[in-house]
Amino acid sequence: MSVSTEDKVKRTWGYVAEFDTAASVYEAAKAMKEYGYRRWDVHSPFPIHGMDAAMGLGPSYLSRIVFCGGLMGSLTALVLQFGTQVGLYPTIVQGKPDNLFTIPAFFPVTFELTILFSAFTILFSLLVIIRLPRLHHPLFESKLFTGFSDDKFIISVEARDPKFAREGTREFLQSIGAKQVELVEEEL
Amino acid sequence: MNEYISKKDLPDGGEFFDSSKVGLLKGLLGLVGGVCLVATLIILFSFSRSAGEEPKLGDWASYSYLFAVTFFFTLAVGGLFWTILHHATNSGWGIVVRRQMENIAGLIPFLFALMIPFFFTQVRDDLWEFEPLYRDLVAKTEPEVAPALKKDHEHWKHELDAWTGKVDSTKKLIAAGKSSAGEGAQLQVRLKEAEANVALLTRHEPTEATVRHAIQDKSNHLLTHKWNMYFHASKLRLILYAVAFILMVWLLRKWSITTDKEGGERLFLRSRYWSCFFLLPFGVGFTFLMIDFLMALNYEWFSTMWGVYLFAGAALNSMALLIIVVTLLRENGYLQKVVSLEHYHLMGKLLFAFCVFWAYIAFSQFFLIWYANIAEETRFYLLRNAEWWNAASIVLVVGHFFIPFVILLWRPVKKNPRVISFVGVWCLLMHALDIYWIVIPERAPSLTAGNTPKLWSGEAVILDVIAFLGVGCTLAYVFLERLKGVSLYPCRDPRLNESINVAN
Repeated sequence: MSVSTEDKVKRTWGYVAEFDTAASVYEAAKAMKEYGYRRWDVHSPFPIHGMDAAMGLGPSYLSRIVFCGGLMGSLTALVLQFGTQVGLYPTIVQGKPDNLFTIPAFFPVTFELTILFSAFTILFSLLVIIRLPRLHHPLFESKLFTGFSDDKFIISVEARDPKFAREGTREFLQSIGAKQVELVEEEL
Repeated sequence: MNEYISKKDLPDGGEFFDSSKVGLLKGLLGLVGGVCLVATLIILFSFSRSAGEEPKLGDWASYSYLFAVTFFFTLAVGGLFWTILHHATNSGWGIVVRRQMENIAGLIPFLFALMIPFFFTQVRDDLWEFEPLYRDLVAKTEPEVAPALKKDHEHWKHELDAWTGKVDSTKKLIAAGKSSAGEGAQLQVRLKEAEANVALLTRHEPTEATVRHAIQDKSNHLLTHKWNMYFHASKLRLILYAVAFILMVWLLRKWSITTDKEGGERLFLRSRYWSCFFLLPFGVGFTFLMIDFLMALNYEWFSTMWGVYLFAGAALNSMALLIIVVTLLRENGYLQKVVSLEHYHLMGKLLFAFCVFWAYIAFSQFFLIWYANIAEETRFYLLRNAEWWNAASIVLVVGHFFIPFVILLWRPVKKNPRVISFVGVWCLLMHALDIYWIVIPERAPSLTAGNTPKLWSGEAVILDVIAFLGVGCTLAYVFLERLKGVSLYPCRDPRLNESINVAN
């Protein structure tokens, strides 16, 4: 027994607009930025040089989180090693000192833990930021959108954007050179 | 993104350095450099001790001169490295700054000219003690060789005769055929043994060379029978390195400048092809030159990471110098259109990478020696942690690694020409300390070895400064002089547009 589409409760997710060339999508991205859209993205079959500048993307704040992660790794390693081998149970090996100057012996572990913590921080904070893993995305409903993995360039605008308007955005997308514009809806 | 700049927006024949604007600076550099260099050379050759005396001014100055020449040589060699690497990896980003890499590498021939004093015994003997020690050893042991050879040869002849006699007598017994089966087998065994001994002795007839080796070995096994002791091997090697390096520098520069005139891809492709091969003589030559110059300061010490350690410092600080040179040119109105902040970002990234690489190598070298705690290896670090050298070591760890590391982590720093140039100046200062810390601690202990041992001679620092200024200002003068003749960037390189508009 199939459920007719009319029976489903749907909500507007946003628009996808199709462009034919990298140059046109580049210009369109600039226009999008100038108009003031905030929740939108460009999808292309290959990386376009200068696109992040055209879109007005700033540097990622991931690096700051990773710096903290790396710092945590260094501190964990140093505290565990100094705490156990210098503080709690001073271990003297080959006449090496049991004070601050034994720090070279602890460097390899510190180095490795710094990298390990940084790598984990990158992976997991990235997953949190981009909200992965998820099973489905409304964009996958769009016929137009699939073209981005072949030979089309797509701009998607979310309805959550403060400047989004059901008719206005469609007209704006067409005015900046979109060949086709499609409304994307998500099922609730 | 900035607007796209293509070759059409640039002056046709490239940009040229106007040397009339820096006439005063050049004159000053030439004057200071010339005076200091001449003073150093006069001190080097006029005030040298003869064997057994207290060290004189010239002996202290040998180390100053080695320090100065090595410091600037590592910078110039780094320029060659970046040029070769840029070609060999088919990089596009740095074509606009490649001419400055070539200019820095272009100092290499002059540095080899400045190395001529290292061919003279009075300078060599102060720096590389194994040479006078080896000469003394030869002088001391040579009279013993002839009598020892005679004695050895007599003993050998006696042995050989005895075993030859045994072979003959056993053969006779076997031929007579009077023995029983058991005795016959025994005779065969005896014959085999005797024949083997005869063969062994024939192979090992004592010669003059083997006897000399044995005598020298007993006296000082570290010095003897090393192939590099003979035929002035290290001088020959220095000539070989000079030829190889000058050839590489000259060819790459010539091809690059010719492309400025004729354009096209011919020489660009040729540079790329040959640079892959140049990497090998570059690596081998630099490693062994640094072993000959610096590791040989203490002939009993060795480190397998020595070449990489010096190379890391060279590549790092040459990049620092490149950033400073490009910034100075831009501050004076050159390269405005071709070099963008993206190039600074890329150069800053390489500076950062090699800062980490230097620390990695320096730490690994220290760590393995420190942990293994073998007396013949630890002496390098023991000397450099004695008294005030310890402070220098700690400054090196903090200043050469931690400070630039933390600063260069920030992207805005890498994209700010002035700030990153200051970081570059800081790196160069630390590199000077690094080379100073390698060369100078050997000086006082080596020179005062036979007399009153000293760890440090404060008065000699003035010689270090004079030598440093002499070599440095002279090279800066040469650099400015050579800057004017050719375009400041490869103006007709086939991939110039790609390089100008690079984004990362």
